[in-house]
Amino acid sequence: MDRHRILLDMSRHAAVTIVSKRHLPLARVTAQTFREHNPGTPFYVLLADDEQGLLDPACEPFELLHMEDLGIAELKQFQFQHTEMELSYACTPYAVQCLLRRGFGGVLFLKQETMVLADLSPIWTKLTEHSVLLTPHLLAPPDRPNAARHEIRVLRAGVYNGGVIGFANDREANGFLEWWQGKVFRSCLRDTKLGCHFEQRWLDFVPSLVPRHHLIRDPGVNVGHWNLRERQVQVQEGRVTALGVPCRVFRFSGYQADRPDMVTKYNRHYTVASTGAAAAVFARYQVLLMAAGYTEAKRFPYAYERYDDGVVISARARRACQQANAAQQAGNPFARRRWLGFGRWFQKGGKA
Amino acid sequence: MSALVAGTVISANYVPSARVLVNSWRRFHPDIAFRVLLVAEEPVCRDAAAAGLDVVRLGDLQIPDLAGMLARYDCLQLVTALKPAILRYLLEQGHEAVVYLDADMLVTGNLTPLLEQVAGHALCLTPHLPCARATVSREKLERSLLLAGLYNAGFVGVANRQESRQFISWWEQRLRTLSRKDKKRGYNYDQRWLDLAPSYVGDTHLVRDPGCNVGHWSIPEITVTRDGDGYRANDGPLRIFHFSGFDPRQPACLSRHGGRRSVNHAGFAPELFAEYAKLLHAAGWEQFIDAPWPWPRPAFWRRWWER
Repeated sequence: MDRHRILLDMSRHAAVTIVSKRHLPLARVTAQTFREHNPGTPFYVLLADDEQGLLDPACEPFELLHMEDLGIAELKQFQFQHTEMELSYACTPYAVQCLLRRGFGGVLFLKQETMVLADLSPIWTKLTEHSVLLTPHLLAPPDRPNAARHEIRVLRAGVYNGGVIGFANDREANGFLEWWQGKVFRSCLRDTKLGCHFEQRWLDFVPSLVPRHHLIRDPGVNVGHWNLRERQVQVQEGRVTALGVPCRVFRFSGYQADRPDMVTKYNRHYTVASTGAAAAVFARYQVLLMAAGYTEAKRFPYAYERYDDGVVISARARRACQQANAAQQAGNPFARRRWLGFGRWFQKGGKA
Repeated sequence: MSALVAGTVISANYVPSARVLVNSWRRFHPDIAFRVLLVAEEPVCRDAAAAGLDVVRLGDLQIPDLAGMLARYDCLQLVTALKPAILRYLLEQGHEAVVYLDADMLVTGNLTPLLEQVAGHALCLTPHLPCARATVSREKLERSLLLAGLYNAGFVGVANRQESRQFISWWEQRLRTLSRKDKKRGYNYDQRWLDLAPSYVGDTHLVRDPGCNVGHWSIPEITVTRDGDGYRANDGPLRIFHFSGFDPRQPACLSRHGGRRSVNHAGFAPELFAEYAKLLHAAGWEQFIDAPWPWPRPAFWRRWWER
């Protein structure tokens, strides 16, 4: 039983993000900017990693959650099967449900590369009326040459963005979260030919499976590289607007603070200079990231990168563990030199 | 001009299916017209009209770049690409709402609740899966739907609103060149594009009535049973059944898509399939199945176009 469990209070909200240690500065910036505009609402960060003595939770601007808090029965397998990035994505439904179990009436998930630029009260209001809130990547056919090609890209990656998702504490939302956990527990890959795009592609099912869902059509929520050209971002006296309304959540998916000229690593031809007024937002984000210890954290180790004896876990081993059956997976997969269990099976050339 | 109208798009070999569908429609809604866009040459259209179909001809539609579409598409691609065109045409005729139904459907119940939903929303779609359930067999279906499209393109309802007209013109524009079957790259004829519809149309309504648009993907959520003269889907009436992939030459096989299951083990009343096969035969199915496609293209042409 979770010792934090308390009575359900539908008026209490929380926000959460997930990072590994290397990406802690992203979470710090998200937390700081969130708290600045939403004082009093708790912000949680799930560390999809182990502390390894490299952070002091008391000094962080957020409440820390650990993998052990998620209540995953086969935690070692879960940590072993996914790469660093996949693990932080696959944890999404678990982290949200962990907070719902602690009695919050609504939980907003924000993906790691996010800056909150205004108060989120419209989202909290919507969460009292609906079970699941989603933001579509596109709100209208994109206004650009090659619009169809952009739409196909969106269709392959998922129609809804996994960066801003709201969940109310009711049966429908919890039911969907459990369904989603079942999808991402084993595999959270990117293989668009098979219809996989990390955790995000499964969100396409939300309108079908959750009757009380709601699509957020506020152009100021979840502005990112996929819709930046259409949202007409303006900055006046420090206030950011998108299509004339206040920009509340800006996403920096794929942005690298040490390559400040590029919007995203997913499109190397897209430069910050070409984004017009939005360039000022990127510059502001870059300063915050650097102040939050970006350079230092980049060198942090990842706790699930190696077997217990220090050998790096290959991508092949992780995939094999995903496809292995329960007997082959038995035991701690990180213990490579044990006589039984996954390590032994894999070393003997185990194939799924 | 009546408020509501139904429509479908067929090529010549689907004339008997359309006749079966239209007759089943008229049984329940004799006062609502059912228009059939027949993609064929004039003699075929004249015969179909004489056989009782309310035929719309390609020339009536004013399709931009029709010649290009005829040149680049095969039969199935063209017929699916023309769905938005018939929706647009029927709205332009002054109807308040239009229901599109695939020709391989059968109306088996009163559609009034469904038609009320169509008239009340900018866009109505039927999701393949209407509720969350975690089973192994479901996961396989879910993964295939991620590539095939989440909403079944056999049923589309639109009302005459600004939002609907914008959506139709966007869909028509995409299907002018991109009615392809290449699921791995994100294309599946007209259907995959519908995944974007809830994003683009604020007033998209998903029909959750388990009796509307039941097909091989509904196994095992929905069971169809015989009930007196009609059929029941779970606890309500079965209103529209979609015989997607059903071939009357092999009446024991449920669908050439859904895993070649037998109709006897699908959870659907086998009588329904026997009845449908009988209706198709009575409508002259054998004479039409080999009707030639009047605009054939060499295979290299298609490969060049879709490369």
